[in-house]
Amino acid sequence: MDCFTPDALHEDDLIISVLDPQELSAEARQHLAECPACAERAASYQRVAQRLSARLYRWDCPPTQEISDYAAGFMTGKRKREIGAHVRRCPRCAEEVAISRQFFAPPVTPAAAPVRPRLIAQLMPRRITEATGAGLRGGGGDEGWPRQYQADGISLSLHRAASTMGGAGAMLLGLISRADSSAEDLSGVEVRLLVTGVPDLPALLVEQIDDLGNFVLSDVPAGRFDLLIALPEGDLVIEGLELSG
Amino acid sequence: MVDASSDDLVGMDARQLAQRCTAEQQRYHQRQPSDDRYCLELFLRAIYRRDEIAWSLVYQQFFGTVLAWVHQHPCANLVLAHEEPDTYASEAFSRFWVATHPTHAPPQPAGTPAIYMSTPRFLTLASILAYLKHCLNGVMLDKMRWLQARQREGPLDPSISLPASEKSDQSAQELWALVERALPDRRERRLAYLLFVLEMKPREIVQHAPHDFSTAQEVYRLTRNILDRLRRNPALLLWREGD
Repeated sequence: MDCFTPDALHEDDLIISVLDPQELSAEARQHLAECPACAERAASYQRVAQRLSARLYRWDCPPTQEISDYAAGFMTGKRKREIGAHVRRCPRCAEEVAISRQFFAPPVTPAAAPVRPRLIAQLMPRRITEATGAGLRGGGGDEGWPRQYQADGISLSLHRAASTMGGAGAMLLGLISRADSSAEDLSGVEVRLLVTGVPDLPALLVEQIDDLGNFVLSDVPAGRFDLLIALPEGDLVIEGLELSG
Repeated sequence: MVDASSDDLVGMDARQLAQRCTAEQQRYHQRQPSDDRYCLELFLRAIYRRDEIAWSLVYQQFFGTVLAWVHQHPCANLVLAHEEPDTYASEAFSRFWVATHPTHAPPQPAGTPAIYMSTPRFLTLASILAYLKHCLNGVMLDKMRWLQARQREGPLDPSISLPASEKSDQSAQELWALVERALPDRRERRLAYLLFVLEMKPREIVQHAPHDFSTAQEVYRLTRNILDRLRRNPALLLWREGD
């Protein structure tokens, strides 16, 4: 089918419509939309191009593990030279090598912040816990909860409850008090829930203590966590809180 | 390997090693002096003795570390939109397990470099963790390639999908050989590679290879030549569209 109109598209315009459609002029785009002959000529080029790409896309690029080996310096000899030659001519693999090297590079360590003092809270025996659990908002006993922790004049009661509003996780309800000060003094103090053993991971949840010494962590998933309370004098830490599903 | 005179390590079972490993890792993360020997011994038992209890404990101990690496990977934003981070971390451990045992590795073609045929040798915990990180990198790059391939598939003309007879025929290597033979001009062969093998856009091509292709218009013109040649080539009859 041929186009016999005066504004029939040049072959290069047909190629632009295949490779770079956004570069096509408005007139050419309109002609393609209105002319079946030119549309079919463009589609013919597109079919060939797409069928070639479908079969040939990155056919000779090395597997990603070889790219990673090369970037990490694990590769030697002939294969290293072959991969190196390929990376020099293939921008896709060159990008993967750059990404790999960025990932393997040692992290840039900022000037070390002063290490805050850490106070590890001790779990008190259960019979003491049952006596104090009723003081919690929404408190009550259930499967080893509530729990009472103490450290250096600080008391922390912790209770686990089912999530409200149909949430998937659990709720952790806490009440903290300090022998030498009022609850208001702890208002605004941050409480962070961290995945145990992964200090580099940002806190999973962050909340603040209210003016009565309470805090609530909602939608807590199952897992093993450290609870960190950022008191002015240092971090109060409850290590290895196990929360089942 | 571990000093044979370290009786405390030799006499400890895997769970005892894991407990000490946990304690030493906590000291390390608190920037206190720490002893790598317990974690190293646990890993070495898993790798060289194929001790599955040791492996399970290694997995528990370091899964969180690998999870943190997932979030730190340059492709994290892209790949985490499609899978949970746990999936990538688990796959990294699986690759590590396979890579450190040659009999578990898939069959390798003739000429495979020795680096893939023998178990890597680890002398320090740092080297083991570096290799584990390297395995994770392979997992993340795989996902990135897969996502890039999915993005380019897009809404194809139904006539594009290759019939079964084509899929069972010529490998990509054979097809490329035919394409190269059909294009006598060096620049056209190079352009065909950049367009169809790497799927680069004309402006990317001009940036990447300015000595060969100075303008996008030149790329369009040469592409037309290429497609016209390939359509007329008898050896590539499979690629001619019907009337």
